[in-house]
Amino acid sequence: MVENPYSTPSANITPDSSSTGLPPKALDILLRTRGWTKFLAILWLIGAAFMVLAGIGMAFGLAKEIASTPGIGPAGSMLAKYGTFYGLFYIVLALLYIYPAMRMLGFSKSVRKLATSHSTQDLNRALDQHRKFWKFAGCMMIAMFIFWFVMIGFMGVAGVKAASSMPSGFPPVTTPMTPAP
Amino acid sequence: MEDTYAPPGSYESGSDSVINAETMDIFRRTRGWTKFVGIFLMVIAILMIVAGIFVAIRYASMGATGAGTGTGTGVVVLGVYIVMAIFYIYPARRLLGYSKASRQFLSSGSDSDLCQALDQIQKFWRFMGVIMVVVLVVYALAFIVGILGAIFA
Repeated sequence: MVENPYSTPSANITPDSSSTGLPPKALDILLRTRGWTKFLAILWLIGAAFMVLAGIGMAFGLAKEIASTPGIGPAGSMLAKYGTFYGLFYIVLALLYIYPAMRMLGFSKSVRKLATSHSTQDLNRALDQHRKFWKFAGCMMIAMFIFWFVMIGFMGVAGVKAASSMPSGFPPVTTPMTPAP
Repeated sequence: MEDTYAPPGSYESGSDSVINAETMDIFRRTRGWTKFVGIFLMVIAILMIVAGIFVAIRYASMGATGAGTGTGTGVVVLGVYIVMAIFYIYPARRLLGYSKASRQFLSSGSDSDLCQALDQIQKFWRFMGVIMVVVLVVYALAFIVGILGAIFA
């Protein structure tokens, strides 16, 4: 059907679904947040890289060096095993830094895109990265909380065991005798 | 029927209508975690202050019996614990503020509540960034002092 050329002029002012219509103040706040999150994420990634390097050094370099030292004995081989364990532990710990750093970098990237595109998709992506970061932080805190409880319980049990396994042949504590006049 | 002669409006002013259901859902799901982490940090801060008070009392009692350095040290230790607790309280307050503002935004859908929520989280990240800068400066100074100490020793 041909459009009526005599109809009153009108403009479509309804935004399409991809436009955010985010208030400029909110966008400004997000842009200011972006700088800090990017800075922290980069620092976390650098820290994680150092941890991985330290872990590799401990697990393979240092442990092997200790084990190959002549006349090191069983204590040295034990130390080498611990070196490997700590090295791997460092590498795992580095992963715990990499994940939140990636989420924060994702947030920063999406906010930068949002500043140019003004699309709901970019806004939602940025907020979702932010949500994932806090979910991870919350889960880590729950894990830490459980770890504390387990450690306290373990230490309590170990303390009770140590106290009960003490030899009962200790001399009784007595008050010092007063010298005879 | 829509008034075609109405003055053209800007959707910027009524932007709360174009933040879609998914955005709201993300806010809802983030809110719970930030509240949890905020409460957790606040509890740690309170425990820190309580521990500081106990240590200060212990120092004071040792000072009274002449076995320790006394109340002065206890007050200093308490001060250190309180300063450490503040480093937890400030971000905790920002996270709790974000959660509260998010809840208000979810119910009102207004721009001001959205800005309030985002502002709280911006303040949180700024604080963390500043702390990180301070830590890096302290590390750098310690490194320089260590090298100078090794050279002039």
